[in-house]
Amino acid sequence: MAAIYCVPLDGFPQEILRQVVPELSSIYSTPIRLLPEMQTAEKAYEPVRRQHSSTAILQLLKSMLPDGEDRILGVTTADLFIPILTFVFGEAQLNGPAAVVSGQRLQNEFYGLKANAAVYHERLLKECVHELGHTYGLRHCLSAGCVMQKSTYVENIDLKTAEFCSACGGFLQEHHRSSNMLREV
Amino acid sequence: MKTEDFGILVVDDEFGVRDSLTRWLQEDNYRVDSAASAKEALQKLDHTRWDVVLVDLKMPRMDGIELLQRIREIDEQIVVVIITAYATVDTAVEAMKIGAYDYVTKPVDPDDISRLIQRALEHKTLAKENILLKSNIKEMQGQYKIIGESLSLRKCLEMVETVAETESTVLIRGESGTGKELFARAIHLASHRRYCPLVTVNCGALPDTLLESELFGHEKGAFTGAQYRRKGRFELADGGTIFLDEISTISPKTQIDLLRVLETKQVTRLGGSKPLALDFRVICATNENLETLVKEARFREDLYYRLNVFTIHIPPLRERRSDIPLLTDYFIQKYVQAMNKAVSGITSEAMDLMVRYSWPGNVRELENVIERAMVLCKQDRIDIDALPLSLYTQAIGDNQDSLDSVERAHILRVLHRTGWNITQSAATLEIDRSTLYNKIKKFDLAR
Repeated sequence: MAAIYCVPLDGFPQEILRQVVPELSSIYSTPIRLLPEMQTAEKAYEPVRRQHSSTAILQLLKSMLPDGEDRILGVTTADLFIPILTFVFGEAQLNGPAAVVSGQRLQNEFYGLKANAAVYHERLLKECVHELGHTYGLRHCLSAGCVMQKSTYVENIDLKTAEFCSACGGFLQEHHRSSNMLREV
Repeated sequence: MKTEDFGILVVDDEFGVRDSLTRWLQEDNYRVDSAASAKEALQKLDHTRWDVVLVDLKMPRMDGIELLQRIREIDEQIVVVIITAYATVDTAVEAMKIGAYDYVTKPVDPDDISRLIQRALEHKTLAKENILLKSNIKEMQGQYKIIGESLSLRKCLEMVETVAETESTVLIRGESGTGKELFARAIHLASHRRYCPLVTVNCGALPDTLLESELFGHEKGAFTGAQYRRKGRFELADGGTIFLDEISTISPKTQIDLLRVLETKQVTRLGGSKPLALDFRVICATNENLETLVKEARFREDLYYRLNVFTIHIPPLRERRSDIPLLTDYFIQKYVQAMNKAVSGITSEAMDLMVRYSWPGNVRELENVIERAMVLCKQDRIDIDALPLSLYTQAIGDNQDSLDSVERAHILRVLHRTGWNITQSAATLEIDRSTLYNKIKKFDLAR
């Protein structure tokens, strides 16, 4: 069975990931293996923008995967960017193996608010589910509450749930079914 | 529309920007492609339909401005958004002057670009809808076609063209059934007010008290039963045209109110105190002789002069008989479609009767005659037997009320119906065959 690997990047706390992993595993009905921490700064840090390139991190993560059916999710403390945008909460390869999520802008402290561990956990879980969803070919969804709804600011994330709508959930099930069938063949 | 229905082309020589924007838009399910140069973009514009093109301002060889101009030449409807660095904002503003929809400075906030793309696509959809609606209006103009090629009608149409673009009040005069409302519509549709409403009021159809409230509207409680504020027809025609049909029938009191409204272009609702400034054009119509009514003091002279700025006299159908075949063919085609009947035209005998008839009810009567004939017609062409008796009696005999002319018309009608079968016709007429032969001889009837 294909697995999802989860990697803490650039000092992201393992204990926070350990809280997210079981829920993620349950949502995707897939075992998740936690890998040792990895540093990305050397390849991904952009001194001019003082941010990490999410696209460069995706390349690093992809190079670590042996099996094409597996997925790998990196979670970092670094602030992420893609060249056209000022920042991203995360990035994924559409129908590809790698996804990355940044915890930086998911914390209340980033916006000058009081820290709230429960809110942070909730946002992190939603973003991890969302970016992994892209790796299975899911695109942004317009259904209210669906985790695949696009989020361009943090309040957007709070408005959606960590669940898939019936259409996205159905798509994912179909994806899993056809992947299993291919493997059996 | 679904997002996958929209095509977005990203043009940027910088791979990182091009690639990241393309992938970011793909997650939204748009149909996205990219081009590394203006030349490549033009090739892609040649082959595929794009709704939005995101263009980098600074590119080697052909820059964003030149590409924008080329895109405008290819398709004016494509929405172009300029992507620029801070240093070139002035140029981006320049780009907007020559037709760019908007510009963004890179790197851009995800929420800003997301909203910009949404707005650009909404703009594109609205522009498309606008074109569609305008073409629908043109189609509608076609539906209200004025048929005829006679000199008198052509003169009327020339007058319509002349007066349409002005703001002058138009008085349309003509007998009942000549198509006064059609002319009013033609004036409205040829004017710059064509995308605003044409409000028609048949003044003769409403009692005087109701007409006032209908024209000027009323405030809540203005009279018993006025439970709500109601806009009048003048208000509804704001920006457009109001067509007052049968203007001669309005009462002296309403004539005074109407005169004031026409002079001030302001309307005060019944029971209201605040006048509303409005922008409307007035077209009115009558089939009566207004001059006589003025002489008899039944129509105000000042209102008459206010209305009689530009007059169009529509000739009665009997004065433009050359248009009868055209009108007949037009109405046959109209009812062929409406009734789904396989009727290809009209026989020459029937057409002859149509042309000779005096048409007191004008085009309206002609349309009714054709509609009736279409219902009755059992062959592929309308024949005499499908036409009303009045057409015969008038067309065949000079003295149409004489017993002989009625008898002649009736015998001819029966003969046509039976296809000149003498036995059947004699049986229908309840006379013997020899009597029928004598009558045919007497009235000089021929197939």
